[in-house]
Amino acid sequence: MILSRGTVLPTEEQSRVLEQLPGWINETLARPPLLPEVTIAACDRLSRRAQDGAFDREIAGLDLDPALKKEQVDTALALLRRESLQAMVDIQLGPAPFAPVTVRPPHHSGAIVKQRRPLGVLLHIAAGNLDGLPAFTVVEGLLAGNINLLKLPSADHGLSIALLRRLVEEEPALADYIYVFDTPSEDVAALRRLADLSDGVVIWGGEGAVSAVRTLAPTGVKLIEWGHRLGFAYVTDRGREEGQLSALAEHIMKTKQLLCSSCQTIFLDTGDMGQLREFAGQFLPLLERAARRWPVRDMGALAQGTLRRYTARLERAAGQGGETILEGDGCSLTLREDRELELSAQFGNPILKCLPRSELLPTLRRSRGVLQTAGLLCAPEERQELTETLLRAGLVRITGAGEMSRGTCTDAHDGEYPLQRYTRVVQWDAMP
Amino acid sequence: MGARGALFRGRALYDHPGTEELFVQAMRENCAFQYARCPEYRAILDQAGFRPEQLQGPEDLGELPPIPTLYFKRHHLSSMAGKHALFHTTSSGTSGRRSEVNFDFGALLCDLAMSLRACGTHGLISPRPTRYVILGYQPHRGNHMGVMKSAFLSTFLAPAVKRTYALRFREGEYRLDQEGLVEELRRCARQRHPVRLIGFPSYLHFLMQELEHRGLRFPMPSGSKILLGGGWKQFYRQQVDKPQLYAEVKERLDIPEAAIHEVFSVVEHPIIYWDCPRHHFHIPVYSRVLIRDVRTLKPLPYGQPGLVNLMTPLLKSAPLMSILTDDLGVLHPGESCGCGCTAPWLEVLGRVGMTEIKTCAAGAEEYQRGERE
Repeated sequence: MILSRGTVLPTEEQSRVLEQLPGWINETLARPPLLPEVTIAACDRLSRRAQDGAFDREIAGLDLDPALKKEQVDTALALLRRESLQAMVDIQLGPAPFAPVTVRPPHHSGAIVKQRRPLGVLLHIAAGNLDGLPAFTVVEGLLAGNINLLKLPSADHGLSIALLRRLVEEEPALADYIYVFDTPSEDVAALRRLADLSDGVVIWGGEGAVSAVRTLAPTGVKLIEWGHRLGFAYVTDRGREEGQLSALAEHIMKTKQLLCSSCQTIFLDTGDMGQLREFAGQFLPLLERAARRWPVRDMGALAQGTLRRYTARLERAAGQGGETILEGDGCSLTLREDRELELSAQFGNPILKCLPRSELLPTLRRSRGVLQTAGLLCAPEERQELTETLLRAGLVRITGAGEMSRGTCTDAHDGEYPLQRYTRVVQWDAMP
Repeated sequence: MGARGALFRGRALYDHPGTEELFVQAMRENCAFQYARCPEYRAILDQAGFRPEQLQGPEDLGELPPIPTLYFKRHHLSSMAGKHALFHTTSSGTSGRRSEVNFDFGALLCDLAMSLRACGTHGLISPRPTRYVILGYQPHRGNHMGVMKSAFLSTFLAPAVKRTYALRFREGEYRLDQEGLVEELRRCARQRHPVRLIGFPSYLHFLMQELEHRGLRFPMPSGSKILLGGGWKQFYRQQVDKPQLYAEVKERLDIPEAAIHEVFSVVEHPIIYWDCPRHHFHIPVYSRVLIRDVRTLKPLPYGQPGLVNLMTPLLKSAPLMSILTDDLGVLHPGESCGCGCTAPWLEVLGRVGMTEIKTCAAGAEEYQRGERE
């Protein structure tokens, strides 16, 4: 399905829409820019109507984990409320962000007017690991005043189009700023046409189109990549208490380790494998408890985990290597002797490694391209110093054990405010 | 002659009740052979507390520890010295790693008997001279892919007048010869010999689209057939693509759906599965299939989805009697098909792992790897 100027069209209409798109975009760009208030008011109305039950039937039809559905929907609705979006704009762009400001630079004779403006046209290549993310990245683009072209992930199942269409119904003025395509990542020709029309391409990590887009985006188009990151937890001896460990286990099972902020590797502040094994014995029952509460439902993922563990067991029996895997009910822990941050098998199967705090910074620096979130499990007195070390190593978010994937309306993505990247600063000479 | 030979020389292709005893006996003999010759396999069975003698009835087959195909991709297991390996095949390596399988002399004889029986049952052996169009690789010394070998072997089912290959080996590499193919089809349509097209469904689909694009129709002589095969990754979501493919073939080549046969096989389990007139893959007497629970690996009853476990006593060169694939599937009772065949049939649902959701954490790993390289 396609959403074009507020109308849902069948996929077959793609080439017709693409043909007319340049003309439509030019008409829209010729008008005064879209102000954040229009988007904020529309989202707020939509969120309130959803809260009052107007979309209960649609929400019930979504393929969401039943154990998490209410929490996810409530979080999403809160994020769309006026106070959240206003805070987002205020924190990221400051008050009255699009108002012109006259400045008189030192050692310069005249005055200059400066103003923040939308980038123009954004192409969003959205990932499918978080329901609602494709619609949310468009809302961010709208807050910055842009025309948004959204390429849906293959796993979207119609949620994003439904949401954005409702948004246009709330505020018809947004119709010219939202175009959604379900173009598959293999349709490089269509993606290239979309990229050719754009001033910026927003790429969310993990989507198969990423490498293709990197090569096809015309020179000069701004590439904005979010979320090619690996999260981890760092546990000190004094952080090994049940409350924090349970919170970490719940985080792992709730996110299924699918998000860029999810915990993949758990580092223990020690160089002793014996201590790591003992820690694994302490953590496994907690992870099992969380797995019973938030079980993995995807059959393919379950089968993959079972095959991996079964193969490792046979390898050990045959004396052909095999990792040390502690098998739990619906989850597992893999113990490895190296110290690199790495991706786990996901779905409740984290990797455990030793990493003494004296080696934290040099070790993590080797993974600097993928650092984002660290969950810190330690005593209150240790927190400040360890936080500082992690930030110096290149991390951008340090959280408590259970909060690694918690988002607030004030968050930066990967250390940068998206609204700043979705806008540009222009200037012209002030009239004498 | 051992139980294996008797099983593979049997007359009925789908008589499970009549071959149950022979099948279990062949499995037991093979298991004892592997147990004695392959130390790693012995260690695996010992660890599981399983002895070859425990294989006494069909219900015992599920107790034999299956070896994952993942295992064969990581480690080489062998029960025979290399000089006894007469025929060597590899998987196509879609997932990056290849499995290698060697055929012993007895296995080759069994394979031949099985192929003849299956081709006879499905009406593919013919004395009429035939032109072959192979939508796949031209044979070449350095290519051991099982797919290529079985395509080449199937050109002996009827005497070959000519063999034309889509992927021709020229100057050290394989090149797609699209023009040559179209020209050959043009010639085929003008003469009287029946034609057999052999290859991957996806290649056939591309060829039909090419003909459509150029507005070409080449009605094939009567008696022409199409044999489709390849790894069974080709068969995912078949219900969507296949009817369209049959319609394209009818339109462009005038070959009816009934003359289109499909087979699949797996390198680690080289039993040929043929589709019935309703396009279901019934299990021949040479193998048994179990579906295992994705969490516990316990065998599941008919109709429930799980991991596909394939069993056959065909190969002696390595412990390949019971392999656990990384495919998800469902086993259905034979009667539910309606074609008249009473042997159970297998529906392959897809490969394990996340098919649709790509995660940003997984993306980061690729990204990191790319930066390090």
